[in-house]
Amino acid sequence: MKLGFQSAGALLLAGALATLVSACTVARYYYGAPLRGDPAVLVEGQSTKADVLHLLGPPLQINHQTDGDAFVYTYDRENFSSLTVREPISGQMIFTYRRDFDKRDTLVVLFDFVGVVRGVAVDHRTEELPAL
Amino acid sequence: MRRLTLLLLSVLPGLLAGCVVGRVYRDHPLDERKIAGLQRGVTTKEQVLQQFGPPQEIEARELVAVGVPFEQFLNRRGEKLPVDSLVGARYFRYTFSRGNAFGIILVLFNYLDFDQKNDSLVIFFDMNNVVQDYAFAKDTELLPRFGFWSR
Repeated sequence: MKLGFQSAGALLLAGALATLVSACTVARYYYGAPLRGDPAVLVEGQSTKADVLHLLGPPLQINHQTDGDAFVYTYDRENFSSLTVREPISGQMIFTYRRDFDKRDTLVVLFDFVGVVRGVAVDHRTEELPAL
Repeated sequence: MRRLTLLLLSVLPGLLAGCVVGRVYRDHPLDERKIAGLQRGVTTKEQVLQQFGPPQEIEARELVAVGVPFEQFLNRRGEKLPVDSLVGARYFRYTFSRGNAFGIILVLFNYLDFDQKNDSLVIFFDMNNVVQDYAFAKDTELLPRFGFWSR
């Protein structure tokens, strides 16, 4: 089937119009740096606060509990995507789809009053982020 | 003529593209030579303040909160100590934050990338206001310059 010049022009115009009214956005946000060091080398009841600082660096948060301090290390990532369709003349939004994944790697080290490690918990969740 | 029109219409969205590059700087970079001069058990809080200036974060804690009895420090029972004797700063935190933003704005597709990292120095003090320990991380070096292209 052959398209005439006018038909092809109309098709192209329609295509161009479609590009003007719909848009897709992909965004990536990163807060902080990936966790450093291997917390598996920390030994409960043996490793000290100095060992932890040397291995993992400065914590993002230092919390106090009734039986000692807690160091908190986090690395936060967010993957965002959206699809928006707008009405071409008025600009009114016709359809929007948004998807937002916010995941973080968290490492918590608990100390007793004298600064000896009493507990370690680590959770790697940023690996679970979908690429798209 | 028709081919030219087709070509023009197909490249038009590409011509309408835009690029965004943003940089965010908060506070000032930490001097690594000064950090190297910190000595555990030697450097005092006063020296830290002289060298690094006012910290962004000061953590202080009342002695009573950690279960340390302070009655022994009182000359007479019932006497109240000055607040600065009861409260001791346990650590100072110095930070330098940087954020790099990168975006491609097309007609059909937009990509945005924002990365924020910090240089952080935490200095712990003992009860005599002497440096007990410290830790420094220079994470701003890990920032990608142009989003995913630099990762």
